[in-house]
Amino acid sequence: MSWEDARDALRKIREDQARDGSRVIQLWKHILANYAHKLGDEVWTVQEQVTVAALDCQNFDLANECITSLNRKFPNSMRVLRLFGMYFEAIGRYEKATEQYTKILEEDPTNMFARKRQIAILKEKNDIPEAIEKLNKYLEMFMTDFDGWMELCDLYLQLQDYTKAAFCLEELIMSNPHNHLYHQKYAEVKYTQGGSENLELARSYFAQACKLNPNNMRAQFGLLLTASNIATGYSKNQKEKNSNSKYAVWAAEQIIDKYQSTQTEEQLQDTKVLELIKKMQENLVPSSDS
Amino acid sequence: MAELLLDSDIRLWVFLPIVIITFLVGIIRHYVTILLSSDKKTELEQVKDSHALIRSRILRENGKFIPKHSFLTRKSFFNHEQNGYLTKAKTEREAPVKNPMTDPSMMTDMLKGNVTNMLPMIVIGGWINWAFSGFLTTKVPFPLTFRFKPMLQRGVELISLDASWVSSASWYFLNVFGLRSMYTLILGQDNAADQTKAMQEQFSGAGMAGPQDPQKAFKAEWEALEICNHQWALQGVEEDVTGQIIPPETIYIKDKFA
Amino acid sequence: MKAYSKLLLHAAKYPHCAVNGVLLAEDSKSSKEKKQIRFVDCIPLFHLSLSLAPMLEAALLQIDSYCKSKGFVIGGYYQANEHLSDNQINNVAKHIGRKIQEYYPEACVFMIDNNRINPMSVNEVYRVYTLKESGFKEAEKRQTVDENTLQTAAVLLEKEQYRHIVDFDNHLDDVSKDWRNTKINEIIESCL
Repeated sequence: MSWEDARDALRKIREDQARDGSRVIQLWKHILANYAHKLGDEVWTVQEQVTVAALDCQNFDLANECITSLNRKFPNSMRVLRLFGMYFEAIGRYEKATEQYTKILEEDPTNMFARKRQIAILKEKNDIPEAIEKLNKYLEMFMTDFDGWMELCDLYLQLQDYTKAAFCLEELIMSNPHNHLYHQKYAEVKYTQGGSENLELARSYFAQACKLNPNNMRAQFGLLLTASNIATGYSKNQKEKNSNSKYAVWAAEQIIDKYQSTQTEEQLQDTKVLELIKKMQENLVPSSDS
Repeated sequence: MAELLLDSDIRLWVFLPIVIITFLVGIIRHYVTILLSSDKKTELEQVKDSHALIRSRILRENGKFIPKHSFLTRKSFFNHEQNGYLTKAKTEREAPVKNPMTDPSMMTDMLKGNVTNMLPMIVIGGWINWAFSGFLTTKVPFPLTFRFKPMLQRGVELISLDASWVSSASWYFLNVFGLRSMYTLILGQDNAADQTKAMQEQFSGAGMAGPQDPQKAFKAEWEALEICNHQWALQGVEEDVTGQIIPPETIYIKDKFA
Repeated sequence: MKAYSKLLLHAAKYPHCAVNGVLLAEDSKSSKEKKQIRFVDCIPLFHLSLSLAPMLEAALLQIDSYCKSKGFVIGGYYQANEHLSDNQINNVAKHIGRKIQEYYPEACVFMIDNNRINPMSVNEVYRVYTLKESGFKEAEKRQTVDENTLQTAAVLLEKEQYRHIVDFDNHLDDVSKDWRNTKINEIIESCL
């Protein structure tokens, strides 16, 4: 692999924000360490990337190396201080890490990275309620940090606090209303909460996710499940039951189409997926004339 | 007008030096600005306010994608009579008087801006006018009207001279504006040698974070949110997706008093 | 054998997430002895959001119909928590465990000890919990895997086969991916 390919691969990993520590380190060690001078100014960003990857893989020597060279080039830089903090976090010395972050915050109280790392430390100590409190305070100040809202949503889901998780997801939906994933996740949370009103909301959001991305299998399955649940359990009158059955049947057909077009005959036979979906369809339209 | 033949010495000793001088001065200005510029320290309060304003705007624009009661909860968070965030902000934020005369940091910034931009231009323009006066430097390739003559032909008082012939001072000014794109090429975007941006900023007022702006911004946001209504965008989406006909009740009859 | 290896590979594939999955056992209704449950296969489920119901229901429905056609039952459930040192059985696992137990009274829950996932481990990597009246209690130490299994699993980990394992989340993202992991099954057979 030439050094240009390696550099492009690293760029792609950076842009996708993928978390593949061992791959980054492999690329760095075998290829780029010898060609560092060819990268020009990009070498510093790459070194930062390698540092984080090394910390991920617990390769502390490599991380130390990179941080030292970055520190020599950019003394007194906030970004390097943050890497120092992450290094201390990784080796388990949380007090030293907190020290670094407090130093950053003293100089620049609006530095969002330092605050987020402090919350990450709490998460590392598995102190979820404390992490939630701190994250809430952070979000009171920086209301439009959507990564923060996403993290808060996951933390609430860990504690199974579905109402608050739904609140966070609403923020995310508003920030990016055409992202089908947010709609789908919100629908899932509403479904898990249960209750006829929530199920109806879930159904609408699953439908919206399907509308935004017809290939979203989870949304299709979700729609099928919600509609069938409402039709069989929660519908107030026959008309609602019928309309829900129609939605469920539609979703089932979409799923069958998708499976037939992507899986082989053998797979379909073995997993019996089609039979399952067809059976569900039959349950829904017992007395309708079709 | 007859074609005038200019001495080739003019080309060597006037034309080119002016270009080179303008260019080099621009680059020097860029680096001096970087050296002198102070870090802009953002206040926590300001950041919090700007985030809140953005969030309120997002709520107004995209609130129709969340269920009605969630929207109303958030609206009340911002606009509640006693405790709403915006309600409190629009009355409690003091308007810091950023009068240039009284606020020292603003004064220093202005001074620095003037020194690095206007001063060199005036000095060099004057020098060129003094050093290279009394003769024509070049001819602009497009025809100009009579009105341009006094402006472009300082020091050359010939009534019958074609307005396209310009003196060195005007050539200098042409350079200043023309080399802007060269600076972008060499120094990258956003360079300090680009004067036109600086001039635009001066003319357009006190820049973005104006003095009474927070209060006014909050007031405007509060009013906008007050009158905002919630129209749930997902009404009838299931029918839409499954390709059925949307029953009229779901989309045409909306509650008039939200 | 297959079950243990796939369980381990799934946990190793996503070290930064919580993962869960189900274990399939032979339907022992036909056999008279009910002392031992023999796990024949394992289906990794999710690594993204473990506590959300709809996908779990969809997955269990699919697996159920697959099991019926093969004569298996869902006999167990495993979970590995996100945090390295968090090996406690949490609410999600208890809830799902209860649900599975309704259908198969002998079902157990396996909580994976994250620290023990490496090729050098000599013991099994999980702790077994069973449902008693008072809740989930750790079962007595029983030998659930033999030397052969541990060795095969170690070899697979070293060969980084975990990159190829497919769980239900992957399947939902791309329907062509097969959650039965037939390729991995073949590799496991060949290691024997």
